[in-house]
Amino acid sequence: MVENEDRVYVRRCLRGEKEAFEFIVRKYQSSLANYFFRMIQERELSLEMTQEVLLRAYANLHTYKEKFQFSTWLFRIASNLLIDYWRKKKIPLVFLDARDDEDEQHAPVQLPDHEPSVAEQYERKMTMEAISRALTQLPENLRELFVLRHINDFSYEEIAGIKNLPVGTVKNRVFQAKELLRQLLEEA
Amino acid sequence: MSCLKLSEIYDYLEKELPAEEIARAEKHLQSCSRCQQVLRERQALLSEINRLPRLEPPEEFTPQLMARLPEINPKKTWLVFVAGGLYFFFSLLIVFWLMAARINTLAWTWEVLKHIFTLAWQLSHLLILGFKYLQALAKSLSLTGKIIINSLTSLFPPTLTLTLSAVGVFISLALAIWLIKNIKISERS
Repeated sequence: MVENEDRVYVRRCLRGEKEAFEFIVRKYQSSLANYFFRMIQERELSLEMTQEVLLRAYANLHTYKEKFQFSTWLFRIASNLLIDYWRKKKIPLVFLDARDDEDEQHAPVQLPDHEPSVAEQYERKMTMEAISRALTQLPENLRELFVLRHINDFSYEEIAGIKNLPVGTVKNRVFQAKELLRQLLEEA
Repeated sequence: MSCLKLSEIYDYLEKELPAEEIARAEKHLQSCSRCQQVLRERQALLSEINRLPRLEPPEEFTPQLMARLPEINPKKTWLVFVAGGLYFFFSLLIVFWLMAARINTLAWTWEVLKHIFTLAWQLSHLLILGFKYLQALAKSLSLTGKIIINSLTSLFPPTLTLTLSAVGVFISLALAIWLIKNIKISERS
């Protein structure tokens, strides 16, 4: 992500150029929507929450400090909105203790590398659905870190910045999420 | 050589493994079928995750959002300082000009003015030099300052700030005239 470009547009917005915000909207709307979609699995609600994050960001642009990455700041707003949503829905946040199952043996996931046939396409669709379902079964705190890493492509350091967690903790939880996801896929 | 940890295999796949560890990992992977198997499994998982369908906001998303943006009044906090500085400078000039006109010592007044500016310049230079030592103090004060500035600018928009400054200049001018008229200044013989 070109962060300096973000800062230029933020400065323009703060000077009163409302249209400069369109660049930010177009740049981040998709990643925000996917973040919410993978967290709450409701398309319309995800789009509404994306809109809410961008509106909040615009209203609070003057509080953004340029020493931080804009994307990190934006996703911190998104994460806080998600926490508010969970609180309102009264979904309990589940926290897992660190697990040491690194030496466990796991069955391989067999997937074709060549051009898929109709049957293979169907199988792939089923796999995608299985992964989407398995994702919903991950505890929220693990899922969020997993989504930020593997759907939004943030680095571990950036995620640590968004969630205000040590990098080691983030890496460990994303690792747990991947292994749990694999386990869930095996059981499916 | 011992087998790779699962976390190392993920780090290798995600290009997060330190450069000095990559050669060791690759060397081990060449000879260990168990680690090769684990690597293939995790690689398959990661590639499937990457293929997950993405949600694309519809075309009308951006225009709808842009239409909903509230108006932002650009925060021109610097205007408060500029207005304050101009107000002080202008008042000083008026008072000295009136005094000079009254006692007919323009050159002397000009000298005093120059000395005052030299003093201000030296003081600011001193402040800049001492800035590093004041940083710790400044950090603790910055929060307080921010609260005051935010409340000032939220209470008084830039236009009102300028109006208040203009009123201030007018009052100081009137006061200076009144002082000159009512206080006798003995002229030097």
